[in-house]
Amino acid sequence: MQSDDPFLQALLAELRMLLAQLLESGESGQIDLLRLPMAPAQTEALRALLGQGEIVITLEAEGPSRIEETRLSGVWWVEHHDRAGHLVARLLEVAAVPEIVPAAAPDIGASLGVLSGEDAGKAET
Amino acid sequence: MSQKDTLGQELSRRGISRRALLKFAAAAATSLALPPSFAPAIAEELSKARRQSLIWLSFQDCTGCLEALTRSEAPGIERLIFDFVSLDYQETLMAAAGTAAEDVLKAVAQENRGNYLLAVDGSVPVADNGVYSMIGGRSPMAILSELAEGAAAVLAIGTCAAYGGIPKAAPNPTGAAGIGALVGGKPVVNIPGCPPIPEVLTGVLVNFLTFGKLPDLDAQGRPLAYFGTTIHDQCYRRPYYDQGKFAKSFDDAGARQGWCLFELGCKGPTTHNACASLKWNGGTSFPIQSGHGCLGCSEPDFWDKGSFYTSLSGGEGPPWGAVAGAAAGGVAIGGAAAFAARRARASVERQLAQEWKAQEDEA
Ligand code: SF4
Ligand code: SF4
Repeated sequence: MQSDDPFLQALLAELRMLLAQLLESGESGQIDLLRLPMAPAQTEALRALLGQGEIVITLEAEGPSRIEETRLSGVWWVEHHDRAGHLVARLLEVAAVPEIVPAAAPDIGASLGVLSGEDAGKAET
Repeated sequence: MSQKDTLGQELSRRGISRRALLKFAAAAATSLALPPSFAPAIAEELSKARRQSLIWLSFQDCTGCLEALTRSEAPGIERLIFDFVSLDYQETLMAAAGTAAEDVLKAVAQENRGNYLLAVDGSVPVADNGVYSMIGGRSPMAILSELAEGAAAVLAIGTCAAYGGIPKAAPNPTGAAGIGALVGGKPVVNIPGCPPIPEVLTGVLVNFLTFGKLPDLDAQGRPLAYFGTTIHDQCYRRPYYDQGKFAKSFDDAGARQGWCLFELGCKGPTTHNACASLKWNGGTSFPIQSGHGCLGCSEPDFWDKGSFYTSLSGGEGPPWGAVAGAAAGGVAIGGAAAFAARRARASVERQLAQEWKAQEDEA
């Protein structure tokens, strides 16, 4: 994957490093694209360069988020919007699955509690 | 919510999910220029924190700062910050008025003595015993001294509170001054801007709730994470500056191609603020992206520094010799400038990361 833009070249190099790290140690990594001094056209060029993978996840939590796998497996384009539709975070996440996606242990515990409560209710009747 | 509850308990009672909090933390990390990998830790710390009491005073102001802060992301994720703080006194927003409001102020200041944050917008007139802006028969200086004394820290919101701003513009008939010049013995954080960027206040509050302290400041008392670089350092038009490509009027061919606005008076090179990276109106744009130079609104005395449309070098453009050299380097120099800005930002990140670690080691 190549770009003539030295800025994008540097970003690709950082992605390469994060992917190698993910493979070696399983440690995920992120690049905060909103905080980089990128022209709107550069952001578009990067998005086009990374392309579209097989998975698109939408998340509804205090506003919509869109999590897209890029052509590079393990590299995700993550955009969080607030309820007004404003973009509040744009990240490149290098991970098997982005951190925000899997259910967390306390929430799974809460689900178990809900179902156990229902079972107990049924047993009583 | 009772102030004894943790924010996590309160949020889950209100059906705000872990993922929503993670999203807020990701936005806060972006805004604080922290590495995005900090988001889960921020979410964790916030859910353990207790609601923070905030008392807000307004002196010689136009209320533009409050408008910017409360209207900006009203329905957005930033509004979660209003769940994290208890805004106990704000005369424009509160229902109570007159003596009822003054009684609330007294009670709240008493109850949270030593722990509340004091936010101030507007400058303080000190000439003629403060007669230019009396509130309830008292001078702003008297009110400020009394409440600053019981506060954990003071936040000077907007350029007027930070440095005196427009009321202080020559000849400054009311003797207007900024908070930092008047309050001694308390930490003061300046959040300048006319108006200030809403996310900066959110970031300072998140920093206080998660780290239990105020962010590191620059020599002008501003949080380094937001004011550590200039608009020019982070400006996407910077490669044009480096190549010597300047718009000469607002509608010439250069302007249409997005060339640098230096010659049209842009004060970006001497202005420290986060507009070029955080942008305005939920990340939509910022003045330079909309075709107008920076006015330098987050710097002391910006109003008295000559015309907004005179270039920093007095109308004749940048030092041409240096620009010619840079132009020969072309795009590569533009890239180098962008990376210099990133390096500056990276050093702030490292510093915050170290603080974070020290904090964890202590705990
Ligand atoms: S002078 Fe202004 S428009 Fe030109 S690069 Fe600097 S900040 Fe951007
Ligand atoms: S671009 Fe300059 S004048 Fe405009 S808001 Fe930012 S610091 Fe103020």
